[in-house]
Amino acid sequence: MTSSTPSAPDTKAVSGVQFLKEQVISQRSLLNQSVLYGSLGSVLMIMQWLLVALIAHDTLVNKSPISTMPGYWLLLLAVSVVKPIFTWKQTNLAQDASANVRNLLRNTLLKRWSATSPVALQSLSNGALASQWIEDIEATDGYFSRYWPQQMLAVITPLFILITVAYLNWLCAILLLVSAPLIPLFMILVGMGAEHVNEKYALLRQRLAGHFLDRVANLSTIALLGAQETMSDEVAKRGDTYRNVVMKTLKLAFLSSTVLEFFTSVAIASLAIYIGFSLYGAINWGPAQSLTLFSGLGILLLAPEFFKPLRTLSTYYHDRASALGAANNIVSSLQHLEEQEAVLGDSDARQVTASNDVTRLMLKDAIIGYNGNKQKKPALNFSFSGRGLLVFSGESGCGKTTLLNTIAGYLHPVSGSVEVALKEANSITYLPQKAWIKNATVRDNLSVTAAFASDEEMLRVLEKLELSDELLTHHNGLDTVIGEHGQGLSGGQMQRIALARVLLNSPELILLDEPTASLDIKSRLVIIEALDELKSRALVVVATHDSELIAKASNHFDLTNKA
Amino acid sequence: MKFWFSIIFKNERKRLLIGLFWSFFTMLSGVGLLALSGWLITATALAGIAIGAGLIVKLDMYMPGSGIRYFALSRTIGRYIERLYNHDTILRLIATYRVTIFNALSHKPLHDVRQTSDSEWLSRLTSDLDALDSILIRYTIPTLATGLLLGVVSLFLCFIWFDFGIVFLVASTLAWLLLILFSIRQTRGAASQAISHLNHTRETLISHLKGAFVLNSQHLMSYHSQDTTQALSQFEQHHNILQKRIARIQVVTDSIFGIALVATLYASLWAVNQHIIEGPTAIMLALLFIGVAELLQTTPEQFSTWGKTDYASQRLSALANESSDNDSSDITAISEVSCTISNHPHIPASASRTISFNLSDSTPLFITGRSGSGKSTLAKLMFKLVPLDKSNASVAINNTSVQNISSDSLYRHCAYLEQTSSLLSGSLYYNLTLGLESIEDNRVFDVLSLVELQAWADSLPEGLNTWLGEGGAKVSGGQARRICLARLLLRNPELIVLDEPFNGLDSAMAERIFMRILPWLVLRKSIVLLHEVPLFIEQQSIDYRSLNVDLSAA
Repeated sequence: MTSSTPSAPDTKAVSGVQFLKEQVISQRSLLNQSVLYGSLGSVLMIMQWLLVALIAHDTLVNKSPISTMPGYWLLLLAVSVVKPIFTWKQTNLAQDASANVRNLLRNTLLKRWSATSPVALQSLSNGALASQWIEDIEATDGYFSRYWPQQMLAVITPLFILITVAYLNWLCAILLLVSAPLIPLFMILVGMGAEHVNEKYALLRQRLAGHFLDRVANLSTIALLGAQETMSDEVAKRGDTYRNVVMKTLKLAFLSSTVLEFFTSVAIASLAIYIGFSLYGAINWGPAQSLTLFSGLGILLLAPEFFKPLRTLSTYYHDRASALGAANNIVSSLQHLEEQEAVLGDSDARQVTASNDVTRLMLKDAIIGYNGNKQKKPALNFSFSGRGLLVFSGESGCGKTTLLNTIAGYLHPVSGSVEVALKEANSITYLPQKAWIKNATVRDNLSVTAAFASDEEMLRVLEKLELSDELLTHHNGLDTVIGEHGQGLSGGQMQRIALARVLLNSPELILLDEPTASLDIKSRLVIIEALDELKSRALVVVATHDSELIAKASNHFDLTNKA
Repeated sequence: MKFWFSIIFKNERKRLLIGLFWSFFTMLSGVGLLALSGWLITATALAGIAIGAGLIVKLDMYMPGSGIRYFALSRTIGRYIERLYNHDTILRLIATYRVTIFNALSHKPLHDVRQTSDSEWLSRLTSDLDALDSILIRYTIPTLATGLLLGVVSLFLCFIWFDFGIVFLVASTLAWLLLILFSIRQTRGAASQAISHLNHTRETLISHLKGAFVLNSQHLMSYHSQDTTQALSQFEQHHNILQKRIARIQVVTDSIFGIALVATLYASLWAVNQHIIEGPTAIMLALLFIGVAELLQTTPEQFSTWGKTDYASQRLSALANESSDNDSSDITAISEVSCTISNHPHIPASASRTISFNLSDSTPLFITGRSGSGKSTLAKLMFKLVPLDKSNASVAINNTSVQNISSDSLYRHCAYLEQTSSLLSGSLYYNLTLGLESIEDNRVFDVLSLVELQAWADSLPEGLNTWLGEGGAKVSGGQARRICLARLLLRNPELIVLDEPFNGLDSAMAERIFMRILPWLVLRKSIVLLHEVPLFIEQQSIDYRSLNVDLSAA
């Protein structure tokens, strides 16, 4: 790992290109080393072909027996073996740089997300965040491990070759230079064409994939309407249309690389013919007469290598395009997060203060909601001290969850203030409506928020929540794997596991969102009883419309009536 | 991967052959250009020296010269055509693959498909499909073309110097095949390990993000992200192993070919010394070898994706080959619908009492209950959207369990408005007439007026052909609801089940719409799932029956 710090996600209108360049800076030394090895490889490559030409010249023109020059042969052998090692180093170093960049990016994003309010994070689906973290960042690989070093080598290697050829025969060097009219210009041309096509191609491809996924996601609707056959035809037709459009673009797009190809072929062919005629004695002006089999063959062997880095670069162009697309995605999602956080309001309006004696919750003229939301909510005023069960009820949509989010600090009041006084600032626990269960054992699930709880404590809590029977007799106790890939638990059982975490943790302030909604009777009763007991140990704040739970409340606010 | 290979050979054999030809043609031109140029230069150099020494040498400069020009041109043109042609083939092939998967999916029981609608699965489906193009453009065409080239070049060599030709054929073919096998074997395990770690990392991350509400309240987000970073470093480690392996195979390959080049050069120059072949021919052999070696050296890179492709193709084959819905009994008309539920995990009230109904006439049946009471589950059981477990539920039409009725005929005779509106990305007309033969515009407008959408549809920029956005993103929830309702009104089912048909509509509009569709409803058997029987039903003295599935109801 390099010592450079991860570039902070500075999202002030950073474009994807700038974003990638910033990452290059952090890995500059590895990338430069990679280019260095690539350049050394080029030098060896030039040596290799010159040695081949020299040996051929000696044997065929000077008629020396091949056994008379063991030095050349050994050198050729050595160069042939060492050259791939340099290329190998070049690849490895660039890949290391790319791995570092991806690791840094992933850790930076993860940190950013950890510091973001869950409410803001929620606005991007978990699937989308995950595919950004996995696919998008993976898609930047080619830019660092292939494109960037090659971009340098596409200038360096041809330059080396040009110098060598110019030394052997200046006219051939000029011919090479002319057939690749100003390499940078050429690169820009190829690049622009490829970029344009890549963008168009990516958009079309995205649309096609979008159509397919939309239809697959709605398969049940399609089946219910009896439209499978129609849809199968439609999927086929869309594929066909896509192909026709793409082929039209490709006909043009491939032309740019064909031009490159054409120049390569023509340059080799005309060099070969020029050298041939010169050696034959048919051309006798300029440097033609100084040509020998050595220099002629050497130039011929070097000619394809002159164009090769450029061709390689053009095949790496899609690496750049996909990295750019991914970088744009990452940048725009970071910007989106910032915008979302802005909507959450002023973070100073909610305060957690340290209190030595009792837990206190106080709302002063607090208007709860999202900034910029037109719907005016009435201001809330209340204060509650000590332990007990505080219940907020009301119709769905009246802002129960929003209020809990505000108390938790995930959202800030639009105006007014929310004050929470606790002995320990961290001693808040939030249980969302849908219990969060990891794909792991019961033990791992419980220790997430109660790292130091012993097995005995866990079993005691599970017993209290009437889960231990089920888990011990039918499954492997604390080692039972639950979650998507493990034992299927009912919604009520999962809610009870979530509550078990709270019981193990005994926080001062517990926030619960609809803990009993759509549960089976047993789970519901167990949870109500547990909450009833908890209220003597903590301040339990519940948003619910469960009448039984409301009946147990020490204090009950109906948010509907406030409206 | 066999399954996907077989589709290529079955559907695109002709295109495969033509693509192969152009690939081969391009390769041959490239190798030819290099070899002939080498020959020409050496020949002219030797001739020039001979002339210089006063000898009379006749060398035809024009034949090889035009040969070189020909190869230069044919390589360029061949490359262009080959790229275009094979791109076309791969697009056709992927389209075929897509349809294959779509058909397989659409013939699976719906409750299986249901579980697949999460975005993670869907995004994997796309990347898996993309991975399949390697089968043609990496493993099939270049491999076959290279094999062909080896054969042709060896044959050519045999005419020039038989022994060398044979050695070349045996050595290069052997090296090539070993290289393919070695590349696959060395990378396959690491590649599938890397992918499975990648998927694990993704799952860990999603689980971590899902816990944000719980973790953040206790400031545990950073601490808990360790799980994810650990999974990540495992993935990175395996990915690194894979990349290092590929690079290692490449360096070994390149070195071996480097040595082989030296050997070839040595052998051909030795042959000149021994007067077996001429000087120019020797250089031609060496250059021919360079050309062929350049092609063979791409093998490790080409086959290093094998593990990834294999992983993707296995997953897709599993989708494409899974058992289809084979309950084949059809229904022709519906005389009776009966349903009995007891102890169903998702219908809480069924724990304490049996919930049952029997529908044999056209009086609407209202099934009421709060959210979470399991109304929707009841409807989904009827339409096979959740699997029916005989121990706790039986749903039968004409005394045949719905499980044994073919989905085709079930969905033809019974229509179902799901609780969540689902619109496909397409036009309004497209969404309304999905699965129907061509429908006249005025019929569409008729049903739109029933649900009070006619004026809205008229006001749309392109009327019925207006695009509704991704998943109906451009319409409001209430409009989407009414479009889904109108969609059913265009049909003629015998049984209709409406799950919360008026979600997102105000009660006055709900009443107006209900009264307007009532005549259509009483022509068939109908079940309406609602929170409670609306007040206006009583007030308008409409004939109905009701069933309450709340926990507390008797």
